[in-house]
Amino acid sequence: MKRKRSIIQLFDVSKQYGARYALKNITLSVKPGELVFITGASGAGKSTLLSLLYLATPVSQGQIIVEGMNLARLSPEKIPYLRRRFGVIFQDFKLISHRSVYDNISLVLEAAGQPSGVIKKKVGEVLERTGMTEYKDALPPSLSGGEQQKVAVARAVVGDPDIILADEPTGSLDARSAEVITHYLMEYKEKGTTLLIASHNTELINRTGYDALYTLEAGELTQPGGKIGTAMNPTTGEEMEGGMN
Amino acid sequence: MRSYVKRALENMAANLFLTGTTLFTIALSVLIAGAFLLFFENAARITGDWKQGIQVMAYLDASFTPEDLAEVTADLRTIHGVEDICFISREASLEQLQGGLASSGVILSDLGENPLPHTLEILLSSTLDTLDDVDAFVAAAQKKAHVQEVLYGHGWVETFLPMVNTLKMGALGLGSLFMIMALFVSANTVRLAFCAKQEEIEIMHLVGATEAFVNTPFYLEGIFQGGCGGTLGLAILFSLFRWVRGGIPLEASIIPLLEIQFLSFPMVALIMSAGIFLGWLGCFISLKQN
Repeated sequence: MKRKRSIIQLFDVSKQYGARYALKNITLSVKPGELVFITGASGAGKSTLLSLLYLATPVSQGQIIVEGMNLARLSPEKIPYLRRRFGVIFQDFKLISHRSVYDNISLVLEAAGQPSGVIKKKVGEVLERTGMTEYKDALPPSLSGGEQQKVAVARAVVGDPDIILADEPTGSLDARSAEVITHYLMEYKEKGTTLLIASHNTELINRTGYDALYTLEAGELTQPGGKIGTAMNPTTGEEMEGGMN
Repeated sequence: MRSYVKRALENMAANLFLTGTTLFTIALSVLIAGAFLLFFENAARITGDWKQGIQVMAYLDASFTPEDLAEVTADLRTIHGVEDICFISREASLEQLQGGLASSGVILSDLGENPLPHTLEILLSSTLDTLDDVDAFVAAAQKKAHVQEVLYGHGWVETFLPMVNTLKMGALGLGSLFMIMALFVSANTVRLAFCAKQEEIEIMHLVGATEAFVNTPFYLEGIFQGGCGGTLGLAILFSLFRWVRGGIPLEASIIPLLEIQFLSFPMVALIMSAGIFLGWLGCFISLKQN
């Protein structure tokens, strides 16, 4: 049994909107390089959970530690630097409608202050890998849902993030495109990038396998299923590395 | 930096009407403030520079001799507001008077002894720009040794000083009013642009953009609008100046037209800087509130 320091830890995290709990008492941890699925029905809190990690919304209760940083204690000036460690694939893509595909993707690197030569090279690479090179000058509204999702994936990975957070990353893709994108994301997993994917697509989950799978029901984490390898030992607090499919 | 400039230009292109309104308001403010400054610069030049202050005459008593001049002058200079003192002897005064009356045929040779006193022409500093200041100076000067009487064109000063001060206040008031208006419009333009781009700004933040990355294009936009507005305002003022001056026949003018000049370079630079500052400040206020 090998001990490994977690890259993401949630301790008794709750998120409330008024009196309603979107998430309640969530405790989980993710180790570097793991592929973790969060599954559950629509409205179960999957997207909320991801949004707490990149500080799109603050937690109501509990603590989140990402790469050793306690998010509750992070000063506003440091938030952009935390977010640069994440590559986020949003369920609604969040593409800037009046900026080209190229500009949408390059924005991540521009914001990080990368030189223009590096931006050009990296954006060119991800466009090619996602099969979107020919659409680089197109505006997002002129693209299909699947194409927009590919742009969202390209934008998420272009900055070589430590962690990729994906909210239904293949939700708008046809079977062939879904396979390409999944394969592409798995390459990042092979490179050691941590992947946290919110999805209710069982086919995707079974195809890729996982290191851990958590199921959310009405904002609460249910006991993980048989294939789950990672969980915190409730008595010792130690984390154990589990098996991958 | 190129990326910031590109985004600033895109912002302006996307909000052409708002950009145009801001630019026009700044141009109008610069035009009005510039017109007043143009008037003052030329008025100062033509009137021999009213800023040089007011002249008063100190008539010296009979016991004064030219040997006392240094002492009297030094004594008068102890009073605040003396710019320059010029001594006119009683002989020189008589000569001046004779010269002035010669054309009217009056001869002063029968006067016998010269009745005129020695005189000091005192030029006051431009800092004494109210009637009370001038009166206080006169009262203090009259107490000095050998000074018999101090006179100045009270009536003229009484009319001239309030007029100049009213014009100054008017220029300041109107200029400030238009500057505030331009500031208000500029700030609102940025705010509207900011609101229109709320979603884009949110996405930028989510992908790791800092406040500086998000806000810099807006500042550039403000500076650009201020600079262009200032240039436009000055260009309109210059055109109007040329047009008005060209429209007055030389013989019909009561003042030498060649002495009327456009704003000096430092003044143009000052107005341009004010325009740019205005654009920047509008943006600063707006972004602080968002």
